[in-house]
Amino acid sequence: MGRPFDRSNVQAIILKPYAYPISRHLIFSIGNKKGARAFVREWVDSVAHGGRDLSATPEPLINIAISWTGLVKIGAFDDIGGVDQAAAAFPWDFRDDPHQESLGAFGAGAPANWWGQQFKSADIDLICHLYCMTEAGLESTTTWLRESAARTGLRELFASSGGEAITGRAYDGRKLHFGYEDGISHPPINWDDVPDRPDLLPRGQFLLGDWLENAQSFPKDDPWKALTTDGSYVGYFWLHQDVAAFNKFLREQAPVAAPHLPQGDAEEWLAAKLMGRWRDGTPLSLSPDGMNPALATANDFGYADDPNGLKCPFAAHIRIVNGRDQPLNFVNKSMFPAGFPRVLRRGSPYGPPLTGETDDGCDRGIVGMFLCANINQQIYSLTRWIGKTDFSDVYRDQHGQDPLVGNRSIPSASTTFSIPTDKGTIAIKGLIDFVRLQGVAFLLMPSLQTLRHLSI
Amino acid sequence: MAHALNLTFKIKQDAETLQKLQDVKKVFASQIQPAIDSVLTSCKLVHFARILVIDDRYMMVLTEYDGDHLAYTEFFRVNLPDVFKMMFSLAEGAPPWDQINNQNDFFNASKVLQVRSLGESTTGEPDANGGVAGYLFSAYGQREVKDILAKLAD
Repeated sequence: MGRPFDRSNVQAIILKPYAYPISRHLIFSIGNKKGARAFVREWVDSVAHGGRDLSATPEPLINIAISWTGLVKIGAFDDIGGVDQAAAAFPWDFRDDPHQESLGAFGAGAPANWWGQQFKSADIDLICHLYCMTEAGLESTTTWLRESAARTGLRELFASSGGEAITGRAYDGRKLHFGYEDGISHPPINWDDVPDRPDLLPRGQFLLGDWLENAQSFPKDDPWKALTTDGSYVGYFWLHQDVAAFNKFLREQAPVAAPHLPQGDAEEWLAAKLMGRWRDGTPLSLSPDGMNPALATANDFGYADDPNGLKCPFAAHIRIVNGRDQPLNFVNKSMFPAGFPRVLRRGSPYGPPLTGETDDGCDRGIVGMFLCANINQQIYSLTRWIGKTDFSDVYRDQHGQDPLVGNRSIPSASTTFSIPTDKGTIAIKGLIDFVRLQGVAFLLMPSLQTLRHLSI
Repeated sequence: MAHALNLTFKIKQDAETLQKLQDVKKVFASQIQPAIDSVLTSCKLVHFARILVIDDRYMMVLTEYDGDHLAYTEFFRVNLPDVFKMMFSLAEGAPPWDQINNQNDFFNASKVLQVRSLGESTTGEPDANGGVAGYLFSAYGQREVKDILAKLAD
């Protein structure tokens, strides 16, 4: 067994996703150290942690994440050697601006266009993530937080000229805006560090403080390591989804993809091939020919029995972001000896649903976080592979992309999605951008102990 | 599109280091080069690579490679540790190898040694510091090692 593990020291959203229909993310710039510490002091006892019983869905649930600049401004390093020494201990991927090339953030999704052009990622010091069951709970908590922020010199940053906070709302169970069920697959993690559990991933891949030689996380030495222990790095992503364009694409390409099927069935077939699951959640790997309600939440499958992609195309979204037993190439096998890099996903849709092919001008998409212990090796690896499928030799098109999420402005990116079938490969040409990055920020979600330390 | 890696450092000028440098030169072809060859052949990322010593005062590692250096620095640390240990042991001001032989410190140490070439990339390639990379000519345009090898195999 490793170090003792106290779940009450870990912010609860790291340990498990919340089944709350409403989320709001209040983004702040810190005015001064004293005020920032006073703000954290006001709220630290309200932060949801792993020792709380959330089964009765109490509201609100609050979690706090702080960026590198936020840690500097709140004086996190003042008594432990200062900013320069801390900068050498913390990894570049947490300190630096989000890396455009690694994210595939080009064209309309380039950083210059992020946050509604109201502010930059480097302006973000602290985010309060609220989760509520009711609109009344959301509004009252928002009001309290804003009043607290105003008293303590935190300035809220709004990614729209209208001054609205980014707010996620479930509109149909766990569905996202392209109609897919979300939240089916989560990495199984050995939170309690139980020996002889090869079926579970080491918690050190998601929680800072455990040194793993083949999955390193930083800072690795005290005093900076103590600051981050039991925390996790957060990739906060705000993504627009072009539902109208996606629906149009499905209608136009369905006859090309599946001419043997009626239009509606062909569209579902194509949608399934793009994702790797039917829109009800049924994995193609377990049921390639149709939805199966009994398998809608199935997660126990691999790709070893599908070496030619006949069931699930190689470039299907879930096959890229969770390759399971698919072999990595020589380079990535040596960088990821423990297997495919994984991240924790905590997201929800935002914006009103849309049917049809006519855009209504409303912003809609996905907002949420990816959590991990090593941003470059985990989050950036996946975003690179989404933009270019060169991470495994099974991919015949090493310039291919994730058809749902890839950015077609990436240099040399292929805009063709290949669907292997037993009658030959179907080439769906002319992929467009269905998803656009609207903002990315990297923060630390610290432990309760660290939050209390930063509130003094 | 290939990126340029121009690692450059001063060699310590004490007698012990200079002798070690001569030893490296003697065994490079027989003992060091094969390991580099094997890794670079297998990775299919590197177009060209060479290591130079200038007047026993400077060492340079020059390569042209595909992909994001932020993605692959760790690959080279993991697969050529003895080569980098040798280099950093010769370098003036470099921390001891066991201090930098981890992802974060190796990345930081390598970044400091990178020298930007003159001019500007004609394709807008970014450099390690977020600016525009220096000029690099490629007769192959945007084609990568894997593309070229695949064409040669046709």
